[in-house]
Amino acid sequence: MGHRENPQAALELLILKTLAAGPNHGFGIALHIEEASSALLRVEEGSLYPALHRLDKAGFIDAEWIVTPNGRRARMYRLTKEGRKRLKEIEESWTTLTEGVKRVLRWA
Amino acid sequence: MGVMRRWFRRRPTDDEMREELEAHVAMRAEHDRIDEAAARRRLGNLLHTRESMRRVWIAQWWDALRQDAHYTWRSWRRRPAFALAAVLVLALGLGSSTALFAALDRVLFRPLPYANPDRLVSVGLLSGLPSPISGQAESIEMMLDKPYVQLWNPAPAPFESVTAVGGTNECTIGEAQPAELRCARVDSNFLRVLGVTVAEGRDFTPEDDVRGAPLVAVISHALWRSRYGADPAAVGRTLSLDSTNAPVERVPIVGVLPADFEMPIGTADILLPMRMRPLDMKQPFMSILTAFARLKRDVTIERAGLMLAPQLTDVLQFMPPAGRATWSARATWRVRPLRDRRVGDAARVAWLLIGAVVVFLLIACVNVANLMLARVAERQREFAIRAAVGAGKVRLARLALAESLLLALAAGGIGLLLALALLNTFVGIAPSRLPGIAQASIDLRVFVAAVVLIAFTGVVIGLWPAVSVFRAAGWKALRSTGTSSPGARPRVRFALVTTQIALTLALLGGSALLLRSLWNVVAIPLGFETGRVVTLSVGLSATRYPTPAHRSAYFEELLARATATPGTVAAALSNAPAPLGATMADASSEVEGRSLDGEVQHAPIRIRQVTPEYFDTFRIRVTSGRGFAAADRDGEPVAVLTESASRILFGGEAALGRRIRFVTRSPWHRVVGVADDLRNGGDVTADPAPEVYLIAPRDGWRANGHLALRTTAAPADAEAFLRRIAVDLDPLLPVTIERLDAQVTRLTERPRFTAWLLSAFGALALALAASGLYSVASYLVLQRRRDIGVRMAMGASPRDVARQVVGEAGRWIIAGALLGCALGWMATRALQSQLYDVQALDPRAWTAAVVTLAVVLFTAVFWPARHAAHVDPIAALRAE
Repeated sequence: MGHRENPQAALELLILKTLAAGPNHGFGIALHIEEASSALLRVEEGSLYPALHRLDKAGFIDAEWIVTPNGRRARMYRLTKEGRKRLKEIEESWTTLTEGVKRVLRWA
Repeated sequence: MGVMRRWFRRRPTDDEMREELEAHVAMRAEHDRIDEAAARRRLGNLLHTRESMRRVWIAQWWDALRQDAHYTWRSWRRRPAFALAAVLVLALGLGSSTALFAALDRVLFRPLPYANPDRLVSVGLLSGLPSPISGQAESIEMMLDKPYVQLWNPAPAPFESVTAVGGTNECTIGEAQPAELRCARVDSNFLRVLGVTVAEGRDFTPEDDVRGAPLVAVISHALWRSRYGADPAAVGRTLSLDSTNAPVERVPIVGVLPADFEMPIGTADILLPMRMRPLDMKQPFMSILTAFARLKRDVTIERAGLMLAPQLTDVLQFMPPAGRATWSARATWRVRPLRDRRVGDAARVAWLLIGAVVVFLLIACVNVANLMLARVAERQREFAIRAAVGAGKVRLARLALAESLLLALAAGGIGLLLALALLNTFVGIAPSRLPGIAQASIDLRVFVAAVVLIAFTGVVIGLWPAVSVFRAAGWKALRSTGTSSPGARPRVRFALVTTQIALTLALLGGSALLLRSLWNVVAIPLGFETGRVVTLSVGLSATRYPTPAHRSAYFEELLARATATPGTVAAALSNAPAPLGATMADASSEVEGRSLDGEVQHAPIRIRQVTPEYFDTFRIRVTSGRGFAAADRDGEPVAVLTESASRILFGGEAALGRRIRFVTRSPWHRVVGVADDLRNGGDVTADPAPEVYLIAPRDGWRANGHLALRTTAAPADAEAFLRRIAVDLDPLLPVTIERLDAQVTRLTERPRFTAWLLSAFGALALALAASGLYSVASYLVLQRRRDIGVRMAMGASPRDVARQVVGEAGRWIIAGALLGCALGWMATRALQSQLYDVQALDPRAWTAAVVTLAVVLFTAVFWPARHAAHVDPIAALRAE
């Protein structure tokens, strides 16, 4: 499914990469992406959650309700084995893509 | 990929989704130190987000299917006649297939209710001798008690274990409520070999099986429920068991069979141990057992037969030299699957019916596929427009397939209801000897089969339309104008109609053959007249009628009262049932003054003791000499032979006046007459078995007696009279009272059943073929309205136009009929074994089938042809 929908592929990559560092909840993921990209990337929060659920349904991540340190219930996501494999795949294709685009830009 | 896991991923509830988003809002507010409303704004439209989250979890195919279903429903509502016709036709096909599957599942497919049933075999000897019952070579394997006990303990090499059933006979329990039951005597390991455990109490033990041990009983679940209200305390209670061949015994119940237990062969309400060990070797004869065995792992049935072969001589050692000589030349072992032994030749009939119903279902499918193609043609422009506004070809083809699946589903629902009703009818008319027919029901197994059938049907009827949509959904269709579009070419539709006609003809031909065969069977002269005869059979209890005097008193009184009943024309008693069933004939014939060779001496002749009015009662013709007179009972013993018996015993010599006897040292009987042969074997198509009638002595009655009464009274009244007489004489004896013609009808119930069913399928198929042809021909006329108009404008007469339509349809009818004949020619050879005195290629039957087909189909074409003849050329041309 993900192959066709390219705009979502980027978000998917970011989510999976974030979760590779450890389990996190939706807000945490959004926050991490912002901070890690030094606020260059800002996650469209409205599309973050459908994307999370899509990944959950596809079996790349697992979800579980936990209680956060300040006592709030949150849905915590965790990378599955398949998710890890998936991450490696898109990471590779992403690097090729960006590398290609970079070269084209340089040449022009 | 974890496809299965993905299918079963838990979908979060709406509340969970809401809570997740709320948590986000709260965390964002806290983190950015803004108020919740601002955090919420940042997340965007919450409702919209939640909707997108939800959509992730709804499978796409389901969504699409819902949409397709919606479209389909709308289009059905626009054309209810189409939907109704298609659903009904398919429901008929699916309903009858399901019902028939349910009825025949136990005969053909369902595993037997034993542990590892495919390792169970029936094993025994085929004597190779003509059967005393049918005269044809013995076809049922049997085992003999002496070799069974001496040689098969432990089980012979190919088998893990062997077990046996001895005789099954009628027995009665209780004094207050006599109930007629069947008692089977079995080896003590019987249930263990079958892998059946008792529901209550215990199984038999080897100690129960010792000769002279106290008798114990294991009763059926049904008996336990009906007589003891399923009370566990029934185990330990005593039955007083009464049978005609043993005095009353008080028998403790030790166990109850499980509810789903079935005897491997026949039925039984009570199991008793055979108690035959140690065997009495001095006994001159051997009892016949039915033996079952469990094959060792890795031994095939064929190999088991080979492995047993060397043991044949050992087995025959138990026979006296004379028997050994006749057996050793011809006897063979037979090992075959238990199912084959249970089902016997019923399997052939079952396959025949399954074949017929599959053909019928195919016809129904073809019919509906045809209707659907017509709709595709009609909706061509709709499809074209849809394609134009962006629906993919695949999507449109899928829509057509979805429509057919929904049709099949709707039809399947109705079909299941229909199947329930049909199954009752089938069971009602099915031959009682069809194994398991009484237990047939629509259970989970049948339901699953029905669902598979429904899915299959959906795909079959949808495939062609889907392909044709796929091809047609181009731009071209949009450009062409209205009705004269070539569209889905009628060629395909005609091909379908032709197929339908061919299949129908095959069914019609088959049923014509069966009907002719049935006609022949029913028309066979039995040698006696069955109308207005009522019979009564009774078995006297060995306890209350211990001596011949007791028994004679009962029977003579029974006969006297029956004779005195108003309306009685003649009444007679016999020691054997009406001449309609298997009776063991085990005679050792002697003719005074003539030495018989062994073959003749042991020829299977039925001996029947009868009272004088026997020939009048059954209206058996005495061809020479005389019948019996009242005075014969007290004078010299006399006999009447049937013609075949006379031929066997006397060759060509005259029999009258000679003396014969059938039991060594019994009195001689003088032959006073020769009577017509009777179809007396229970299989009316078999040759008459020779029979000898001996005058019944006044004191010679055994436990069983059979009264027959010819009456001028209404048969129902006669039955009531007889019942009253029996109750007056002894209310505790169970009696069976029946009309003779009902018994004769039952003999032909199997051919009746198959002929009836096949004819029903044939008639329905014919109706479907007619409607299919009608619809195609009508479509053709509609499509060619313009051409017809042009031709008529050019001077063609209505007759010419009509003739053209009929001629075209006729070509397809003829093609279908030819194909059908070829099909029938191949298929009916399988039918031959079911036919009596008719060849599978019987010209009369096939002519009848073809003529019926032609008449009905040309009638169906008549209306479209008439329609074509009435086309108004001006209107037709202007319509463009």
